[in-house]
Amino acid sequence: MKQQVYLTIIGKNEVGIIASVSNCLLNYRISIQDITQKILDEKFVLFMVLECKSHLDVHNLQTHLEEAVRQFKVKIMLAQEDLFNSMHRI
Amino acid sequence: MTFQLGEILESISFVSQDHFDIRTVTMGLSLRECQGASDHRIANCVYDHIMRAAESLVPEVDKVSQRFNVPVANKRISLTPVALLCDGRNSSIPLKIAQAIDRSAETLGIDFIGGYSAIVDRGISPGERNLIDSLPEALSSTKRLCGSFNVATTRSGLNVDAISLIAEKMLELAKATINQDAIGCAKLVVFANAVEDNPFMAGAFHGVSMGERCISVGISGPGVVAQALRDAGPELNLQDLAEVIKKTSFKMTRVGELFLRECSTALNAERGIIDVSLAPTPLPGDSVGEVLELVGLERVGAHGTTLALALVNDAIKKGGMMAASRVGGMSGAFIPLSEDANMIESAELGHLSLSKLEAITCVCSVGLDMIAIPGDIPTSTLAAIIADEAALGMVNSKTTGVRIIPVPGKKAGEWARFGGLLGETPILPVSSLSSEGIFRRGGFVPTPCQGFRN
Repeated sequence: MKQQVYLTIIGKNEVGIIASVSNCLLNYRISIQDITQKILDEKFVLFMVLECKSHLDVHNLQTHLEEAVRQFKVKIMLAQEDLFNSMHRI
Repeated sequence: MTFQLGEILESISFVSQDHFDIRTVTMGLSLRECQGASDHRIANCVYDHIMRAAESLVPEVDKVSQRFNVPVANKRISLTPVALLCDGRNSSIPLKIAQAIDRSAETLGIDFIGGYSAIVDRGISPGERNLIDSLPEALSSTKRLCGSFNVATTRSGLNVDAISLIAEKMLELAKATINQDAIGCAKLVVFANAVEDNPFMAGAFHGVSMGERCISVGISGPGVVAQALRDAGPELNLQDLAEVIKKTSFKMTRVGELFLRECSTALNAERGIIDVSLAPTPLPGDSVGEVLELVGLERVGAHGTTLALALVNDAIKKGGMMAASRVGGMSGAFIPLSEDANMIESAELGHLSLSKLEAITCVCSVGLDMIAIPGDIPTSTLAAIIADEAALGMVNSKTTGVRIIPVPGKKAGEWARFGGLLGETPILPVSSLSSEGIFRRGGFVPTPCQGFRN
């Protein structure tokens, strides 16, 4: 069984953010299903849709991702797809 | 991508910028299993039962919170009104049960546990009388235990004698916790039309009509509504403004519904209700008062405050009702004075009186909540404040509650400071006129016409 987890990163644009994140995801063998990155109001904004195993500990992944981007001034948020389904789809 | 960027950003800003959280995940738990236990065993029976049933509450709710990255501010438990376990027993039993419950909450890592309660709107049984008598010691010798009483309903009328007795015990409780500005009274609510499925403290109890164990969720989010109102701007007409609040409430409540489903499954408990409420905290940006000001008031307390609250309360409910599979509890807007930064400020500047606070409870979900008054008042004056609010609830077929704190030795204008979530507030003046005559008569106010709907 798989689950979809949404990754959001917002903060100051610097070289290497996506590389650091992708490398961490590689260690987890997580597949990136979709990726969108923009500069909005001079802020770096990244969304990824991740396909993970259903038993993946999301909190654990969040901790490791935070560790991976510690040198950048960004905020990371991971949330299971159901959160967005609940809020934005009837 | 299934979702638009704006949708994802909106969800994230709810939590990261606007203080959105699930205010409480509350486990309702029946204590009726302990009814048959002997006087000697009953306190242990209650303790063991709570420990068994709620052992995983905190860790399981934390796991759900982490999966969706939405904080859950409080994990709490509501119990069968303890008075129901006290009839036919020694008068020392309520206090022993109180201390056992408090111990269980401490072990489980829960800050408040509710149900030191009695339903006395039609009369007081000996066990209920023992529980009321134990209040000063029970709520001053415990930290986490919360109590509540139902003294009136639209269907039964209003029990004036019960209010007198409870007011007397409240003043004793205030004196017993004088070192913390009478904080004991912050853990006690006196209701009219109390609901059996309220997940919010201090008034939560697990009603007699409920099953063995269920999970209920209280949402919150005044910061999110405030941001939506700021985005809408000052020119939007009130009808469209109500739409903005409705849509925001819908989204917040849907997150609550998700948590209700996930937490009840994880804990193998019945799915209870969503309490669709705006509940503030003392943090800046998490204020219901601010929401009212954004509707168009210079400060909360101005003329128009009642209208603004009526509009907000109604729109919150409408959005929430569509979003939740089962709405219950109080559902509306909470206005605890000491827990709301903008309301505190208004009270400090003299714009919020006890009378205005009473008036606005006609259109919102609760009542006189976390209001400090001078402690050196006659019992009849305190009883009259409670009775006025209960009369509003009784006649208007709505729930009203009174959580009022008479602070011994302090006068109007001085401050009561409770700390943490309970906040701080200037002490409001009360009328010096006597209400003693009505309570000397005592007795029972009969069922109002509104109670006869058959």
